[in-house]
Amino acid sequence: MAGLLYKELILNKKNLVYIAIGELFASFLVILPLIYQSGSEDTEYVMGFFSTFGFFMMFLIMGMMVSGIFQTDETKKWAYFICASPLTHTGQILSKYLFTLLLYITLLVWCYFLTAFLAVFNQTANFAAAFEMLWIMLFANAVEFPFIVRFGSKSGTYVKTAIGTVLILFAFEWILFGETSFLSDPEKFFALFERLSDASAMTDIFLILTAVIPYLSAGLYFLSYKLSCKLYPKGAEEYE
Amino acid sequence: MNDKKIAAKRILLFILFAYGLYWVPAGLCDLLGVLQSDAGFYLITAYAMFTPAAGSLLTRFLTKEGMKNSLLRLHFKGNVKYYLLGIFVPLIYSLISAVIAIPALNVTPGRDVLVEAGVSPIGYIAVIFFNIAVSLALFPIFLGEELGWRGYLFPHLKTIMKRPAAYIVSGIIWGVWHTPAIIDGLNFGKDYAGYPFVGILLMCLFCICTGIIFTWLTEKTNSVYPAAFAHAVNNNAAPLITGITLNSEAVLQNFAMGITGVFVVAMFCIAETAHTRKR
Repeated sequence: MAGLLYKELILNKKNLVYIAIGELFASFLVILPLIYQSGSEDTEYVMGFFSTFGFFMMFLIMGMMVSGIFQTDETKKWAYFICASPLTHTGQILSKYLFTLLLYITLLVWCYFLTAFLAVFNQTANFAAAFEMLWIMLFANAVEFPFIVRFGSKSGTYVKTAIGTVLILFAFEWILFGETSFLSDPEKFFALFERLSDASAMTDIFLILTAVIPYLSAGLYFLSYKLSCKLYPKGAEEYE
Repeated sequence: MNDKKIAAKRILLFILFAYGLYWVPAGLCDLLGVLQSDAGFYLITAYAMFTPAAGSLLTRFLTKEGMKNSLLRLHFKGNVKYYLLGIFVPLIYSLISAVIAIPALNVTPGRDVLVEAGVSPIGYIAVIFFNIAVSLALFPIFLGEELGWRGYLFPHLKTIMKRPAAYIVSGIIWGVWHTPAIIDGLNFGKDYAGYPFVGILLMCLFCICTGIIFTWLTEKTNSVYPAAFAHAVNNNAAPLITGITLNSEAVLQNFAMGITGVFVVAMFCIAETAHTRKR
């Protein structure tokens, strides 16, 4: 397994450089509070918003790039070779899933250090947002990966694009016909953000939801791995 | 040079790196006033957790020991129960501590903590599970410590002394390593009798007991990961359980009471190890 993980590291070198560049840019959003230091309460919410948005972007970038991990060895020869090796295709799939998970965990540790770094300057970053984003992205990848394994990374990308398009259409419909007055009024917007970030105002249902999401995503990720193992031999038949 | 001398030399070099990489920057920051706030010291502590791993890597490199016996392999097959134990053992010993604390200190469970947190008992349980998930996701930080203490120090100590002595010595080395954080009040605050020596002594006792448990997990799996999980849950989620029965202001008393549960589980680990070795 260690060898397969090392193979992933070597094959995805370029991909990892792109991810690192993207993450550095997104990290800049998180440390913006240092540039706009101020003691006023309003500014604190703006800062909290920036860190939440920064963490959101960081995980989104990672989520978009990790599907490339499957693209690196989509060839029939490799598929036949790995199926005949002692590790079999389950080892191959496990290495992809583990590598993805390791990338996300590395990013979370980076977010942890960013949060600690900001705390030195008495600025707070919403680390809980980073943590929840980790599981949301894992959830999305758990849905996406079996498609990639069965139909190839191109088709997998089509599925992801289709889901994204549906979500964007919903967002457009909401912007056109929904209640969006708070978006044009900064005071209302930050009041809403304050309410959502206020730990003392969290209801039991919200607390239970935030606690359940990680376990649910982890379970789904494991099921997704099992499903991908079943789909791999069929998918490999369609490789070039 | 015989094996024992070589091991002793390596241990000394490791301690020098593990302590030096933490104590020197922490001391400098404190002296220069660069990181005066608690938050500042929090960052130093987060960095410090990687210094035992860095110490073991540097020692391995300088003594040309290589990466053999680094316990970095998962050994997941057949050891799932120990991985699960790694997650749940800190919760078990915290529960034991809490059960002992209720009659011993005559406290009402949940008196302070729930009011302070402003949540219902169900909400509090959700918070505990949330913290367990956070701990597991942040395990690489704790892996930094475990690679040093369990992955390097204990196996080398075992070659120059008997197992019980190795438990105690490794616990003391690990406990004293926390001194800068204790002096800064990160663990117990500064407002207690015998500051900071009583704090250091308590930390050593705690590290000896938890060290026995973490070593047991490491030896059962031949891997440091279960110990890293246990360490992560111990630091982030377990205090929420012991804290529910105790006075939130008496931090040192809470910690001392917390050791009782750890001691019970550590004794079980010693008995189990002795039984297995006899067989």
